[in-house]
Amino acid sequence: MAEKKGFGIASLVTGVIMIAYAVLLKAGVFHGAMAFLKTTKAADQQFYLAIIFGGLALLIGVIDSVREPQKTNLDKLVLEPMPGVMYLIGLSMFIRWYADPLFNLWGVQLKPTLGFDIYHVLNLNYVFLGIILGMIITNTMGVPKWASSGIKTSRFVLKMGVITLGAMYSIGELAKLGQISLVMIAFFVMGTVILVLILGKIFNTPKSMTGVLATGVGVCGVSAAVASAPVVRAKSSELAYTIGTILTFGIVCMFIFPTVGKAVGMTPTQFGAWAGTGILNSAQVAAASLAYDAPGSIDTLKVGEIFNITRILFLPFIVILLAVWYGAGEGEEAGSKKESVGKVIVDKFPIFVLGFILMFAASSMHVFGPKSITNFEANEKNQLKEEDIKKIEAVIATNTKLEEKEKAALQTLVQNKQVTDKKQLSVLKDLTGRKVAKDITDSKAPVNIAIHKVERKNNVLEVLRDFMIWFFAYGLVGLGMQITISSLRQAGGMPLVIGIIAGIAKASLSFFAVLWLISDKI
Amino acid sequence: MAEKAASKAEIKEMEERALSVFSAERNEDITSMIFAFAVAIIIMIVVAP
Repeated sequence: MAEKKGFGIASLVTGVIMIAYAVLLKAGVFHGAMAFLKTTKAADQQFYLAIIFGGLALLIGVIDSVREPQKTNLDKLVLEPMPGVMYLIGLSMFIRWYADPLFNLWGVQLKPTLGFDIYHVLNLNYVFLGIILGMIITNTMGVPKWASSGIKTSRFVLKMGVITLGAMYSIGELAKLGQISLVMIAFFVMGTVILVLILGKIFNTPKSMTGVLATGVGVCGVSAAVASAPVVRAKSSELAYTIGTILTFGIVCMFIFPTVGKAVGMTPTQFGAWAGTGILNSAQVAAASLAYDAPGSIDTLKVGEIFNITRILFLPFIVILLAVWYGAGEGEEAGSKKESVGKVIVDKFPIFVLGFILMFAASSMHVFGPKSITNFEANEKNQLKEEDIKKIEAVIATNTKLEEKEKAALQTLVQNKQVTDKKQLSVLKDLTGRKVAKDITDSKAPVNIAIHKVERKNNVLEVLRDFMIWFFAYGLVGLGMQITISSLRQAGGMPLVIGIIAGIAKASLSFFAVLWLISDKI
Repeated sequence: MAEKAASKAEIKEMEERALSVFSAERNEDITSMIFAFAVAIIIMIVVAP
C-alpha cells in the first residue's frame, strides 16, 4: 500500500513538472532556447501537450494516492501503468523538443569542419536518441519502480507507430516504377531475408535474433524490425542490436557508395536505384543520393526515394514469410506434429500488421485526401507582390544556370503573377530543389511563396505523421529502457557479422543488377 | 558464480519487463489497431475542415 502511494506521488510530481513547464513556456522563459533550437513554431503544441498530459498526470496521481489498489482491469491497464506512461511521455517530449533539434543544429554547425552533416549521416535523430536515452537511464540510475509497469506499454505504442506508418504510403508510389525495377526490389528484399535466415542457421544464432535481423536488413530499418519482433518473440536487446547493425552498415555505405558510383560512371538514375536497394536505412539512402547528385540537381535523390519507399511495402509479405519460418521451427523444437502453412500464418501473423495494410489501403484510396491540395484559381490571394516579381525578372536576366524549361516557367510566373498549372508547379518545385538561384528559391523567397500560395500540404497526413513520430519516440525510449549492457553482451558479435555479410552481398549483387537492368528510366 | 547468477536474474527481470501490460499478444495487437484507427479518425474530424 505504501509502495502504491509512492506511485501516486511520482505521478503528481511528473504532473507538476509538466504544468510548470507549460506556465514557464507561456511566460517566455524558454523563448531564447526555442529560438536557438529553431523550435519556436512548435511553442503552441508544446504548451497544450504539457498542459494536457500534466493535468492527466495530476489526476492519476490524486486517484492513485487516495484509492485502495484492487485487482481490476482499470488498475492493471490504466492506474498502475500511468505513472510510467507519463514518465515516458516526459522523456519523449525532451527528445523531440530539445535533444533532436540540438543534434540537428550541431550537424549544420559542424558541416563546414567535417565536410558532412553528422546528424543525417549518423542518423542522430529521435530514433537513435530515444533508444540511447532509455539505455543510459536503465544502465545507470535504473528504471524507477513506479515506472516499470508503464514501460510495458512501449511495445504497444510502437505497434501504433507501425500501423500509422501505413498511411504515409500509397499504391501511387508503385505506379512510378517499371516492372523490371519492381521485380528487382522484390528479389533483393526476399533474397536478403532468406540469406540472413540461412546465415543464422549456419552461425547458430537464436531464431528470434535471426528473424528480426532478417527483416531489418532485408526491408529497411527500424519500423520493419519492430513489425517483425513479435512474430519471432525477439527480445528488446535483439531489436536494439538489429537497429545498431543497420545504422553502422549504413554509415559505411554512405561514404563508399558515391565513390564507387562515380568510379564506374553510374548515371544518377542507376545510382539512385542502387542506393535505394543496397543501403539499409532510409535517411542514409537520401544522404548518399544527395551526395551523388551534381550541385543543384535532385535526380538521384528522387530515384533513391522511390526505391526506398517501395521496399517498405513488402513488409507484410516478409512478416508472413517469417511467421511460417518461425512457426515451423517452433513445431520442430517442441517435437509436435507439423502444422499446415495456412494454420501457421493465421496463428502467427501479427494482427497489427493488418492495421498497417488497412492504413496503406485507406491512403491509396485517398481516404486521408491527396498528399497535397492545389488551387490554381486566378485571384489576388494567389498572386505575388510586385517586389517579388522584380526579383524573379532580375534572376531570369542574369542567372546562366537556369534550364530553358525553368526560364519558361519563371517567365509565365512573371506574366501571370502566380503559378497557373501543374506542369509549371512541378518545374518550379524541382528548381527549388536544385538550389541554383537561391535568391528566389530559398524557403522564404518568391518562388517558394508562389508555390505555397497555390499548393498546401494535406494537414491530415501531416498531423498523422507527427503522431507517428510521437508513437515511435515513446516506444523507442521504452525499448531502450529494456536493454542492459549485459543483455547486449549476451547477444555477442555474431549478429553484427551476419548483418554485414548480408549487407555486403546485397550491395554487391544489386550493384551489378542495376548496371545490367537499369538505364535512364526506372 | 554469484555474479553470473546476478546477471541471469537481471536479464530475466529485463525480459519480464519487456512483457506487455496485456495478457495476450492478440489483445495488444487489436487494442493498438483500435487506438491507431481512433487517432486517425479523430485527426480527420478535427483537422480536415
